[in-house]
Amino acid sequence: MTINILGISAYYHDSAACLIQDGTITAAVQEERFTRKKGDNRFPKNSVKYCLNQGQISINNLDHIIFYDDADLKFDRLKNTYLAYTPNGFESYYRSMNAWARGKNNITQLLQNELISHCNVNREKIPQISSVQHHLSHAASAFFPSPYEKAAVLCLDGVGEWATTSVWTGEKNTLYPQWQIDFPHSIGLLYSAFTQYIGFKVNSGEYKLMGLAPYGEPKYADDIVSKLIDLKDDGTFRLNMDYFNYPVGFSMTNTKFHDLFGGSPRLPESELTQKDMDIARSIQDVTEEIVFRLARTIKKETRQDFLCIAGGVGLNCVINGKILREGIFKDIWIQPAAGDAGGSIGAALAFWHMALNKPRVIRKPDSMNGSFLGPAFSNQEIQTHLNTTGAKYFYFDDSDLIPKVAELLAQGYVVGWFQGRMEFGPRALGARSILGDPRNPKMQQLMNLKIKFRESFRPFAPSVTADSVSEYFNLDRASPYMMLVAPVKSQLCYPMTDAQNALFGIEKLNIPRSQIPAVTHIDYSARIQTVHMETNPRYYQLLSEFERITRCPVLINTSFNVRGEPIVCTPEDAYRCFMRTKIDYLVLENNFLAKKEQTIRDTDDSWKTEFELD
Amino acid sequence: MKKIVAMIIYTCNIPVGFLSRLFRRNRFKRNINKNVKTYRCEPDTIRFASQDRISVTQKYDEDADCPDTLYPMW
Repeated sequence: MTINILGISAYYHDSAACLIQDGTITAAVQEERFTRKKGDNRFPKNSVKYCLNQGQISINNLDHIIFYDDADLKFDRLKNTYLAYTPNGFESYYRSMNAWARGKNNITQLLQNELISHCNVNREKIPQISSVQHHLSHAASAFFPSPYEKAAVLCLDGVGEWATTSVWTGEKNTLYPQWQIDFPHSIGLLYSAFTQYIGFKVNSGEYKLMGLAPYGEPKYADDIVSKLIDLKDDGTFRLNMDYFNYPVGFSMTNTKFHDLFGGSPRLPESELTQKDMDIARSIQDVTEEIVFRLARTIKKETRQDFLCIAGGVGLNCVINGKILREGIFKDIWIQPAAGDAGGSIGAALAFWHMALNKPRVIRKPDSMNGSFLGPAFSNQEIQTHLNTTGAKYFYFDDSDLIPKVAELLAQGYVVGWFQGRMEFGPRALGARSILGDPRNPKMQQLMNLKIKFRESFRPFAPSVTADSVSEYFNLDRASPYMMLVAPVKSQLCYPMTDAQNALFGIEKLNIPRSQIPAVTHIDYSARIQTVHMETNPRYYQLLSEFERITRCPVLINTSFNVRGEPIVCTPEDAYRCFMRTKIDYLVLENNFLAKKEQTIRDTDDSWKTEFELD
Repeated sequence: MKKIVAMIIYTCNIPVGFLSRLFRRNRFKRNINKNVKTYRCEPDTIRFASQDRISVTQKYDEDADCPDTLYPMW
């Protein structure tokens, strides 16, 4: 008799659901992909329905439902926060308590009500609902699917209940908590404070800050270390809360913070200055130093060979790559959905292994199925949709389709690539991707401005066949989830002249810096995805075919969406995105569409405001 | 009306908050301390909270230097 566990993360940001069947991850998906609202935090009703459908079960067949957060403990933190800051923070208190009074204080009942209203089920048929602490969910999402029998685990995020940083050791089917750092002292919130100060959105713009950092110099790092944070040798830290407003305010920082950095926060969408870039670089460097110290301490104390990482800060792939290159651990594994969405997997797995005491089966390369855990669509379903919309398409077998697409990419065309099960986590890994030729020096600008409609400073990531990764990058192992940044091989790089080095930040990006300029960031680094025949055979074949034509097994891989839009989920989403942008060709499984042959053109530009800018 | 009730409750918190600060039980105001070697805290007890309140496992690191183990006393 199969034991079915549904994991849910919701009500903060990035709601998601996953289904674990006898300890195997059957399905996992973020709610934003269905609702088309980025970072959707509502109850993941569509995700739950998808997971049940994928597992071929109904809600009556579920044995447990596990929520990724301990509401009592979180309420304890809120209560204490408001007590600590009284009489300040009334407005925030009022809003927060309103949300809790509306149901968050009784998460079991809240989830039951949601399931009754969305899943057509009687209350008595709903299985036991339990909850797991936020950082245990993160730690479990990092350790249990990893390929290691035992490992140290580091969780770094904004905040869940009390913990903001936590250290664990994992062995067999158990996680042992070692120590933690509590709210309000949070590396994630520190990074988010700078994200907001530089004019990006909290909980979504952090990766932009990371991408902006290489354009700057760490001129403010000393100020950060001397005034904002007290960092101990072991990597533990406390923030000087005199500079922050987030515990009870609606902004992350206060006027004292603004005075320290010489002015008010940058207005969103206004021009980026060298100062913004210097600040981005400074906080990135400080964050790296904190994580390095933590990693060294963890190694010294736990004596583990391997490290697993989760929590939103785990998405900082620059830091991940540097930890790996420091050689502190033999290897590291990062949960591909390191943010709160991945908490749904962690909560369910923690319950399976630790509450039900089920043994752990270690799978190689890991238990995430390449992170391809979302919905897939058959050729027939796709054709039904295309016929309805009147789209012109051709059906090709893989043997014809893949060489054709590779040839078009080599000619400089941009291709929307939709195949197989959708990725779980923030990265497109070749199932819902926009692809281009990385050798083309104009491709980066073209894709940023005409296809993604996003800021021109943002770099693109390369996909490379796993066997060729070390020929192009200083990386000697797999990075299937685009979680590691590594330098491009020096023999492929072009040195900058003095005149080029003197250019203003973003202008530097237009200078080709390597043989694959479109995926080489200005510090000669790249966020690498290795593609493996075992987990993504069609994409692997496409890369191999592209290599046959061009001698280059690398493609630009960016998520199939426009700025502010969640990654496309269905063929409808993909077709809509294709028609609204300058993507030249679209591949929907084996169906091939050319933009020039489509007659239905969306001439109305108002859709550009459909998605709130991130 | 709701807002007025919330304001009354919040006002009641003010003396508690002040007292906690007075007796340094306010973890939020215990900021930077150059004299300690570490800021690590004891981990939360692992529990799988449910209708049945199952407490499954817990482990404390007894040796950890933990300046924040005194959770607010109020």
